[in-house]
Amino acid sequence: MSQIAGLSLITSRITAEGVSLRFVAAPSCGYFDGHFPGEPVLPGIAQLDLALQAARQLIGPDVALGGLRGLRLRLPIHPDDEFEVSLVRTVASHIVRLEIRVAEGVATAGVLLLATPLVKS
Amino acid sequence: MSEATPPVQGLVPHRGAARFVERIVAWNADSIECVGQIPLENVCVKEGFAPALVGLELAAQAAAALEALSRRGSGQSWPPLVGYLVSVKEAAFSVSRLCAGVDLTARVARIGKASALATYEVRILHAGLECVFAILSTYAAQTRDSNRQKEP
Repeated sequence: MSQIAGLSLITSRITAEGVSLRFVAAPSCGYFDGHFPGEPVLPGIAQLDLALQAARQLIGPDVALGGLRGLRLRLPIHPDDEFEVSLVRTVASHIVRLEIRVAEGVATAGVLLLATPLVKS
Repeated sequence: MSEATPPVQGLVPHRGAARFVERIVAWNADSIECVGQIPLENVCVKEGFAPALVGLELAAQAAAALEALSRRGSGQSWPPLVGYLVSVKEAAFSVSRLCAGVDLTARVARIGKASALATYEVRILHAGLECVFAILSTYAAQTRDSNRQKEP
């Protein structure tokens, strides 16, 4: 799991069905730098970056993101909000369902299409 | 296709390592082409590379620049609005990662708009090769700064 200053992993749970990682990002977290001055929110790409790291814990370190389907970002995630990144396997080995929850409910949800690069980079 | 191409810094609210878009190549009422880079100091960059999904941010910023230009052209209040990414209907990443600190091209075409919600077809290219394709939607909200500018 990549170490990012200001981002704390609170709990981690990995099962055969999926993975859940619970985080809190301090105002000093690099994900908030410049996004946006005076109105910090966790960028969508930061959420997906964390989802990809969760996928690597579930499936393996070489897994990459091949695509997305039906991603909806419904609620903003602010500094000091606790949020939980969960991936659940589906019947297709390369497809997982993503859900990111905050106290108010589901912040982000969608489907990740995972891939393993043909060439190690 | 081209109209006047103003500096991009005043068109998007992103700052520092969060701002990817650097210059506008061309734009018209419904589309824009920008060049930008993933800054080496961005937190998503590890050993000079970022996951390809980070290209979506460049695309979203290009879309934000298009909306700012469109508002300016129509005489509306055009200080940057915060454009929240609200959906990615679909995305395809033909590479696993993008190199930080090198020029990437964002081609964005608006394919739908309803009030503050707009949908775009976006492509990110490196050296002419498409790395990212997506259909995404953003919602534009007033920033506290843009609201303050309206105060007497």
